Amino acid sequence: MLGGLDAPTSGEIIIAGQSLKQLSDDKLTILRRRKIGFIFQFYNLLPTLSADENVGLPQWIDGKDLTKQRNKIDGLLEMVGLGERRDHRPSQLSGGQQQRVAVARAFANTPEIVLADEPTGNLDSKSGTAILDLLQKTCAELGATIVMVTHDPRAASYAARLIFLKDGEIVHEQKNFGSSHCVQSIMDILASLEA
Amino acid sequence: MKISGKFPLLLPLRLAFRNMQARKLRTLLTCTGIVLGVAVILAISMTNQSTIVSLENVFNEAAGKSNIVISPYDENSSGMDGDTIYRMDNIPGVLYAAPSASAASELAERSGTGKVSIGLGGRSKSDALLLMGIDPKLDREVRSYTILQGRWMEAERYEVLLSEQFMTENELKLGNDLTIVTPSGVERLKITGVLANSGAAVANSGNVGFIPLQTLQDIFARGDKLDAIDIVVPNELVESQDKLDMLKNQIQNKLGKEYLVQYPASRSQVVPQMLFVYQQGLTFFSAMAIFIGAFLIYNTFSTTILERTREIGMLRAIGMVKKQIVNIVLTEAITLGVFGSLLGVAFGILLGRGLIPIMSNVMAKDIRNITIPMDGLLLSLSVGIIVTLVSALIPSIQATRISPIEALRSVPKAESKLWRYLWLIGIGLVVAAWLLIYRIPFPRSITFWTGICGVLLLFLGATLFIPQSVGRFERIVRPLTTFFYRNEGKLGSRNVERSPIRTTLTVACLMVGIALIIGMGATTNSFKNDFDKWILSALGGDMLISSPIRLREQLGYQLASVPGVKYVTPRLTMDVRIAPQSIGEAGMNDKLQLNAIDPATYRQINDFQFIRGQGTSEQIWRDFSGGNALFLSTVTADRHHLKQGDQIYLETKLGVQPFRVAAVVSDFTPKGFIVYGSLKDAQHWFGESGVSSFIVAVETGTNPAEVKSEIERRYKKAKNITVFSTQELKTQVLSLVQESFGLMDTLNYIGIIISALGVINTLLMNVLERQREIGGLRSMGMTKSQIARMVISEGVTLGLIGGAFGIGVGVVLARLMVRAMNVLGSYDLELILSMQSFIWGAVIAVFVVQMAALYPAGRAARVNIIEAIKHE
Repeated sequence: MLGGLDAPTSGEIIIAGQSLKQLSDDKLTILRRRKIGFIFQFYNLLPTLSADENVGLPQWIDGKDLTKQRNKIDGLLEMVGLGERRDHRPSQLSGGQQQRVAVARAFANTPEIVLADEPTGNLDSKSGTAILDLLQKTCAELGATIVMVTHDPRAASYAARLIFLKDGEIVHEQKNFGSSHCVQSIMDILASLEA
Repeated sequence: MKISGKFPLLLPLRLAFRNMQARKLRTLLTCTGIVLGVAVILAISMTNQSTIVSLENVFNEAAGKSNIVISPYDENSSGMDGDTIYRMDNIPGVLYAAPSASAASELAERSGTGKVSIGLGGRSKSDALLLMGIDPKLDREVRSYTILQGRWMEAERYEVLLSEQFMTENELKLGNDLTIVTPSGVERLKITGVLANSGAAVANSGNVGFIPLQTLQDIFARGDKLDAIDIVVPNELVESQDKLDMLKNQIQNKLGKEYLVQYPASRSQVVPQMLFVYQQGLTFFSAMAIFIGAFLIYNTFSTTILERTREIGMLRAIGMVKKQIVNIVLTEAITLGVFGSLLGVAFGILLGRGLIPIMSNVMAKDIRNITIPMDGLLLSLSVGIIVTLVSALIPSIQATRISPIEALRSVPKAESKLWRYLWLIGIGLVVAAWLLIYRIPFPRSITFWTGICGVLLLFLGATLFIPQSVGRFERIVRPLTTFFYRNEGKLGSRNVERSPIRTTLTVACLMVGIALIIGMGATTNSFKNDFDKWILSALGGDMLISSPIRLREQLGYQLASVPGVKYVTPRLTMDVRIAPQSIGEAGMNDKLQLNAIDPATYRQINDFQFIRGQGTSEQIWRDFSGGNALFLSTVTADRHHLKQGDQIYLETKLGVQPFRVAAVVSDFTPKGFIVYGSLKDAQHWFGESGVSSFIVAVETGTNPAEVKSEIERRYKKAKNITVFSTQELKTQVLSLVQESFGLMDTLNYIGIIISALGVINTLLMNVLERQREIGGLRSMGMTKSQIARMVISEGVTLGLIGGAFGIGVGVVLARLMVRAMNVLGSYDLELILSMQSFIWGAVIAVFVVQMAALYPAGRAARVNIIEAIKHE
């Protein structure tokens, strides 16, 4: 719903001062294109495009000429540590590398919000940690808000604000202390919700 | 523990049904592919068979119960003596001997306004009325008559029974007088009965009347002469061929050489050459339909299996053995194959019923006997089922080779090394096709089939070139799709490289469809070009003047004196018999139609189209004018293995006489076995006086219609002539040719539909397979119209690659088809490619494909983003 992919049955969603309710499908799509970035669990890269083309895809979709965006794309790839692999296709990259490309892609249009759906769910712990560090760093550098959905307490511990959901309802909310104790604290809350 | 590959019997069936139900759209697409493939095969077989059966039936019905037919050996004689019938009296085994005589006539009120329509069936339908003089007491024992109104005729009266068709067409009523033209003037016959359009009344395409024998002999001044005696024998003789042979020989011996004793079947016309070639064209198309249909079915099934790789992995993981997996897939294939084939049969019958009237028009003959041939039915059913099974078997075996873990992970399969070298096999197949068609000499009887195999090998060979060429072609096409569809065009274009097998099969479907259009277009064009040349030379002049009875040669001088007439040339048409010296495999009783002309005046109006490489026109005409020489139509020359300079022996009134073959000429006269000789020779060797028709050319600047009126005013009644405008004849003949290729066009459209279906199928599969990806793109900000443009541009890229291959292969196919026409149909056609068919090919490659892509594009645009990204 936050991404404008689904409409709420009641209530209202306002992104960047704009109520989503009043927008047509095309306008909603354009808002999504320019204001929101997406990161999926299974990366969702296009197999026919190289890494840099995948990163430039949101701009491509926006009708921009990629040759003019070259610096930005290269910068994003350097930022995620894949500057050397810009010509590789997804099938030539590891899972962690593919997710890095997906992260770079999510920031391609300098969005205000990045929605991440289990971004580490399909990665081993080392690659997962690298991605989370990267997300944190990128978020700080580019000044975007990241909304991440996860079952992983370690991934959740990177967030500044935590909202716990159970059966579709908010059951708990807390600010993060920014320390390693946080993982344990999140696990405790999850255990209490299960009980 | 031994793992059993057996299942509870109904489980595979249940799973198969569930699968088909779960993937309704795909099931529908696969089924449509099978239905169309089967339907085309059956419809073509049905059209061919119905045509042949109808032709045979006309002769069989007209011949009735007759077992043996006696006729004069010399067809140009005045007939058999009337007392021949009494010579049958004492022959044991002869139950009835029914005499008959016939004469061609015309309705007096219609005389001079006659219209001829010509068909590929070998005989023109015309307003000319065939009058059969029969013995009223005896003939119903021999031929079958169904009287709808009125009564049977009485002997010696001036009464006539007409077919219902003739009565309706000429607005005649029972009790009216039928006024006809005879050599002695106009005669009246009372219409006493109307006959159903069956049995004896189907003769001469229904333009037939039956009158008492003696009346016919009186009004046509035939004395007591007969044209035929039909013999009916008892049943016990009918059942024994030996006894019947003995009786036939006995009659022949008793009557002597002046008579021809035959079985009615041997009177059946040979299937005319143009019709034969036409039917072979249909059969060729049918083979191509199997090819495209098979690709379509394979494409759909292989994708279905690929899509279920994960499901197969799961089934394997929980303990299903490979054989069981194959069982499930095959059960699904058999179910779909049987269901689709049965539906295809039903649709094929409907399609056949739609094609038969077109064929009927083309032939200018009614096709009354719509038959569903058992062999065609079985062939279409088995092709439908077997191709479906094979299409399912290969991918299902491939699927079981993937390990359960790989399958569950849905790891994309690495490209097989073999895939990269398929083009080498392609070269091998193209070389094999070339050898089969051009190099290996096969017996003539199987040339057609080896040709079809050659073309199929060519198509297969070209198909194997596709996988390696797709990438290169895509890069060439990409700027174009980017220009029209912007960045989405670039994305869509690249997608064609993602499913090499699917892309290959779709491009192959398009390639075959477009190649057939180009091949067929070139054949039609080459044929029309040759035909136009022939029609210009053979139907020269402005008028054709003819009569049902022989005209006197002096009429030519009278016609020449009519103001405005520039040239007049006579023509005599007669049947001649080829002598045993010239008979090869063609068999006995082979007749030729001799058109006798006067070379000097003929050349002022008309000319011939000599086949290439026979010397100059002047040399040929000089040789012909020297006498005892003939021009042979290509069909006649081919049938008797004759060429320029050879001798052909004909039976003449003065004995067997050799004639020199002065040249072989292209001739599209429907009857086919035509020779041209000089009028002088016809008069000398065949004792003919009179002529059949005159061709008249008018002075430049003169209105032919005015000259026609003047000729009619002077001679129509006095000489019983009919004046045809050659321009009208040309228009009719050309429209017939146009119409005959209309049937091929119809089949081309079916080919286009099948190809378009292939594109819809592939794009739809791609859309279904890429739901998650499309969902991802939508969530990233791609609008619905951008998604649609991306899918359409993928279709366009497929279309353009298919078009490029189709045009290349089409040009080769065109050469092969024209060559086949020349070899099998004894033509001398020159290949002329049709620009129109190239335009059609391009239209299909670009526009039809875009239309076909609309539905998958719409579906892709409507993808529910939430559902799609949940696919993870």
